[in-house]
Amino acid sequence: MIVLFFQKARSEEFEAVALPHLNDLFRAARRLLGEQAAAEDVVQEVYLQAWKSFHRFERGTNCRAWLFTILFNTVHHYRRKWLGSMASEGDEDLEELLQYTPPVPETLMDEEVLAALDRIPPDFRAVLLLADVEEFSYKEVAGILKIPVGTVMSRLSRARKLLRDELAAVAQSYGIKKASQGRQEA
Amino acid sequence: MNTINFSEAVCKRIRTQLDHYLSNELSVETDHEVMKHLEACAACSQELEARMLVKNLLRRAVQSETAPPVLRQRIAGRIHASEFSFSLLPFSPRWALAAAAVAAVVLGGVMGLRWRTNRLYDDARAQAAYIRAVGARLPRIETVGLADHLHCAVFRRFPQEYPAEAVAVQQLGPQFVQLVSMVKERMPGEYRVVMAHRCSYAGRHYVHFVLKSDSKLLSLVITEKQPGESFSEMEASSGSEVSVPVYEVAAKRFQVAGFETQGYLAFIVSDLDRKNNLQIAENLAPLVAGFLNSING
Repeated sequence: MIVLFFQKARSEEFEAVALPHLNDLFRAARRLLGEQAAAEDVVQEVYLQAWKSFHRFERGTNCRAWLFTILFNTVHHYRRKWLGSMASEGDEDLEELLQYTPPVPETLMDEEVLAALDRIPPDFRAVLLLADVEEFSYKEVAGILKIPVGTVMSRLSRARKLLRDELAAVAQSYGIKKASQGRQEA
Repeated sequence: MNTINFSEAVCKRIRTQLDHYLSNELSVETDHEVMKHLEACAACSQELEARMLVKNLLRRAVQSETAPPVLRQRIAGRIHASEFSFSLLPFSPRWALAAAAVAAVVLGGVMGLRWRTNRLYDDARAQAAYIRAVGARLPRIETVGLADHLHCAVFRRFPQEYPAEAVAVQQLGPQFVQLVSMVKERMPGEYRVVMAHRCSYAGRHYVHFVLKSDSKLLSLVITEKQPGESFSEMEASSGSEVSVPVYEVAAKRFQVAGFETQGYLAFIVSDLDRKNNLQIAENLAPLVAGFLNSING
């Protein structure tokens, strides 16, 4: 009986610290896997795994980062080939950073932004989700993805550029280009 | 060529830092340097705003989605269900590790079994109600085997690729390991042992082998007899010439065939038809009973 009570207290603690991150995990999974059903399955697996290794989780450490680490492991197993489609790394080209990008209007719809995000290679998408949406630090992102901090930095810059180009292209296809016509080819 | 008054080299250097500035990851000194530059340089500050806008659009778009509310309930249900079966076993970290390892393997894949409703997988109460309903008209003793088969084999998401046998039996413990190969020898060739472990359901401990063919799922469930439990009140399905009589019933689409030794009850439960299930049970009964007698004494 005592064991039962002990377990009950533990599961309540687990739910209190882990379940509040459900939405964040789901959104990331949804964007990483592309479909709702797969995201639901994966998130459920993440929680069951987290619960089963909860005894190894140290109180006071970052539960969110821990859950995201499990998420990326699970996604990796779920779609082994997912990481196989790695885009070429490529050093950040300084010239490219200075290059002119057509403006991105504030009026883009969420669906358009999500569609643009989905067109970005998975490795870059992952960094965007962790750093820009979830606002993990570089160090935390490196820990979650098991890559060096330097790679996080270069991937993030590149990913932001890719997303921005995608969004600019969407805007251009709507003919919003006019406003910037005069400034091209700086 | 543009309105930047700074030397291009300065802007170039600042722009390589802009992304890290946006992420708030610069050292205090560099951060300060970038800030100073931005105050004075319209072009770089416009560039920062553009990057900030993209980041904000991204955040807003991704966060516009929320998890379906049932997902939370499903997860909470699974946690409570596992808590229940966990707590009935003496707590041991090694056991928990093994469980976690098996769980990782099991969870790693997509479910191998389909069942009409997910609720039965995920909601412990719905599952318990279903198990009671299926077993409602059966002699109580037969429900002992049926319940564990339903709980532990039917409502389990098996991985698409089965674990190697060594993994499948690692939870079993030395006493019962040799029974695995004995059972395998006697089973029709298309069956694989996908899991062999100890489990518990409704306060009872089981040794449970799960065997699968392409389309069929079969359990051998063994449990210690509780006082007064016996098949003696039932009529054996097998002929009198059999050394270990088998007692079988049907419950919905499941067939349950039980037999006993002095200390144990054992069941073959499956979704095979009556004849095949009984045949397998009769085939295994003398072997399993012999084994159980040998470990009992």
